[in-house]
Amino acid sequence: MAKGYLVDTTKCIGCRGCVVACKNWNQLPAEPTGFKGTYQTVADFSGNTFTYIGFNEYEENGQLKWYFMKRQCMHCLDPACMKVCPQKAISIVDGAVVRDYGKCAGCQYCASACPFHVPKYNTKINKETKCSMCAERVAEGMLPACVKACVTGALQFGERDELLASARERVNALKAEYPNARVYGEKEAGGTNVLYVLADVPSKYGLPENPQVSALTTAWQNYVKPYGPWLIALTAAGSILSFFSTRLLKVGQRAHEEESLHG
Amino acid sequence: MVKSEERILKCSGGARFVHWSHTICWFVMLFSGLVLFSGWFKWLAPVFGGADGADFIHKLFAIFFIAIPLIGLFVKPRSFIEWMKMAFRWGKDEFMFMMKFPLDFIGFKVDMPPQERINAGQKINSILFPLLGFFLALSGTIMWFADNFPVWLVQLAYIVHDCCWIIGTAQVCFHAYLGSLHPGSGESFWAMFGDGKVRASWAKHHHTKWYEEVVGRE
Repeated sequence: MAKGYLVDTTKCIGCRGCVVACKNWNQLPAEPTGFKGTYQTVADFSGNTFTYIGFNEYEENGQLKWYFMKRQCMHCLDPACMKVCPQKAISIVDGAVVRDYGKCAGCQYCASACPFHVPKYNTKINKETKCSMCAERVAEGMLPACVKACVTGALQFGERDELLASARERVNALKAEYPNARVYGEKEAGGTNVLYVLADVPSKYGLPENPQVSALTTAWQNYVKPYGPWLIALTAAGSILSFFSTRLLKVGQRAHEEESLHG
Repeated sequence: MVKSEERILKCSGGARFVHWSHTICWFVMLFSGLVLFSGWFKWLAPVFGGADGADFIHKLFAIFFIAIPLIGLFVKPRSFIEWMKMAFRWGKDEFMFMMKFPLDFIGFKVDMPPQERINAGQKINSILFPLLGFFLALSGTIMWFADNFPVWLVQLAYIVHDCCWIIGTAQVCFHAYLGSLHPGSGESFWAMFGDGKVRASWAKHHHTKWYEEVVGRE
């Protein structure tokens, strides 16, 4: 019974109330942004930005169309960040992937493992940061700050199963107008607790079509780390073996007695 | 000809300084790095004041790790070049030495071909460690400033860094043993640990080519 929330992008008007609410609740300082030829103010996650709205502009049938995309941690069912964390600082609390800042050593392994490139390093506190689905609010029976702030009902908090059912329903209703409409997060990256209703293909929103943990991270985590160190045990054992076998085989040989350590 | 009791210089002061300061760096970074490597080594964290402290110590010694050989290179560039030239000079004697070495390692008595100031095994060591050090420093820099590099490069750096320290530490086991407690290698211990000098008679037996070059043929 994992909790999550549904982002219905077709209901999002890009007001960015959720972004402000997130900053507010998490007490994150504002970061100066510059004009980059788009209405989108925040370009990407940062050590002080856990969520932002992507303003994806497309010209369709002579009309400008926005495909708004609220980005934040996807809260994977099987998070890659949790697997690579050597400090075991990341855990799942009622569906939310939460970081324990007391344990995080700022090694940044999670940042490169995340198939959605969400965690970002905060230099000031030497910690990796990301959205926690407001686990501390949820524990007190409150809604996550962003969901609470949403004015259009684009954000919906609840049990994953129920959200999935309502997402499917919504997609069916959208199909007539948006033939490419779909649910995102049901199976992607092994399933996520944040679900999306998209009007079109994920790439149009800047989301990975097939988010996967990279082969390099898998090789590192599943092969190099668990098996590699045995090489050290092997050479150490070889040296110990040689220490005894040389002494057993060369007993009484003057040639080497002369060349002993203190000779 | 010198008397057998006389000692000749095998490792210069500069070489010994770089060797031992790098040894300290290696072990400090090995143990602090283990804390950052796996949760298995959580018990080591208090030594460094927690995982945060291990991270700090690791980065601090990384600066020394990179600076020390660079200083050595700056002060005595020629001796580094000479060392590398020798390490990469491989002939029949070197290959024969490596072929026969496993038997010597186990404890059989074998006649080794004459060796230079550093034998074939030490040549491998002399190539391996600077190479590993270089890649450790390179991948470590990428890991330290991960935010500024493409994700695939950071992911690759993790693999390179781990492979390098694992191979390096495995080699440290051999290196430390062969340089001290392995019968016959004993005297070379003083080449690094003491005043850098070894007994001439030992040098004649173990590093014949070098002995003849330094002392002259009998």
